[in-house]
Amino acid sequence: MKLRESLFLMLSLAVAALIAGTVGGYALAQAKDRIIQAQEKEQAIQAQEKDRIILAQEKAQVIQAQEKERVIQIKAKRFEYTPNTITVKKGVPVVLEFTSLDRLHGFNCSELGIRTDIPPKKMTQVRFVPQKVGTFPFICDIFCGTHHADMSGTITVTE
Amino acid sequence: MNINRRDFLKLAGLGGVVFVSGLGSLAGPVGAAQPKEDDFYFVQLSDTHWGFTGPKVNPEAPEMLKKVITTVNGLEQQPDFIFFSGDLTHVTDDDQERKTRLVQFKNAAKELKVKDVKFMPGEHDAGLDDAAAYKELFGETHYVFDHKGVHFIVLDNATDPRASVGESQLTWLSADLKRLKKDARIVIFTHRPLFDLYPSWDWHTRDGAKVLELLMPYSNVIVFYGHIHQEHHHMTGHIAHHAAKGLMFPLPAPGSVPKRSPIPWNAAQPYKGLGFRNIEAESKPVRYDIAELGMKGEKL
Repeated sequence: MKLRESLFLMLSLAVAALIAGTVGGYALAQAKDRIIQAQEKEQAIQAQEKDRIILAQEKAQVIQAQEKERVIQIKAKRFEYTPNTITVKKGVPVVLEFTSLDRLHGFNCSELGIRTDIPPKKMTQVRFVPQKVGTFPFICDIFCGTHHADMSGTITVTE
Repeated sequence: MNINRRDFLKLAGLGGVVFVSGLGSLAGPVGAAQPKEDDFYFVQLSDTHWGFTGPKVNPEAPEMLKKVITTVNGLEQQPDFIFFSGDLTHVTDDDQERKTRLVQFKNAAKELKVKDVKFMPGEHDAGLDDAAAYKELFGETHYVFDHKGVHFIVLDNATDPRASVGESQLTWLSADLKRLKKDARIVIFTHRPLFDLYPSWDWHTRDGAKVLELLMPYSNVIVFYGHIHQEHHHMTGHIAHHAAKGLMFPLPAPGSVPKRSPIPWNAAQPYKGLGFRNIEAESKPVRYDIAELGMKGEKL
């Protein structure tokens, strides 16, 4: 009888321990999941905040760059550009604003990788950031008449 | 015709004298013409710029065309045909004057002994009126012809003031090439260089790379052009490009000076920079020997 009671008691304790372990483990896992979810949520919020800050910084940089852009107006007509000598600074953004006073012309400064058509009655913009120092020729590359070969100029990029 | 290299070099003239050993290998309608195996040569004349005036550049400008014709007519061995590779006339903004110059040029060319004379426009002839006057007098600006087994393709890269061949002509070229065997002997005439010789001086064809891409599968292609008024040789892969000297004024070497202005006349050395070129082509193996000659036939 004493042995039976002991066995029963031990069995009961084992069952109780098993139930307690299972319930406790489940509760622990639940708690762990909640912690992970909370951490992930926090990270997502931080990432969003970071993106927002970067975007704001980029916008500020663009606005700053636009404010710093140097705008140069160039008039094209047979057979000259005015001005035909342009000086810009390395690294400073430039906007070339072309207007043709008569017919279709071209602008090609191949060494700086700049080319555009210049149609009449319309302003044409080209943006670039000079990256190399030197003097670079440009020409009209759309055949435009008697003195087409003379329609040229230079862009000088200084430090 | 049976002339050796020495005899050939005696064929002094103006412009480029091109000798072709014509063993063609063409297919389809072209191949059906049964190319003959005899050799021939032709004369390439370029950039005559009829109508140009500028005593400091060429005090003999009004006589140059007549001189050229007289010299070609005096060739001991007359060529099979003569090809003018553009800028027949000098540019003018006056449409009527342009037509007048083209008429005068055409009439002058009738004085050539050789009656098979072929033409193509340069931008000076055709770039301001979409080749209207040129077409009226000379016909199409791009075309093909075959001569003793060699297929000649005339590509117009001058009528479009943007210096393009254009999609329509590229399609036409592609269709023409498809008729040919890959080892067909092909001679291309253009006015401007098809490659980027010096884009800063507009010495290129904006879509020239597309033309070369179409030509690349063909093993025997050679290109003759003008526009730059000087001898120049260049390879794009296996395709050789040869610029002819001009017949009115020379231009500086690409990029050698800030502007591409004509080189002034040198009274001590008249006609300096104007001359002609012999190209001797052999078919077995395919080979082109080029000799540059001065205006009086002297080897340079």
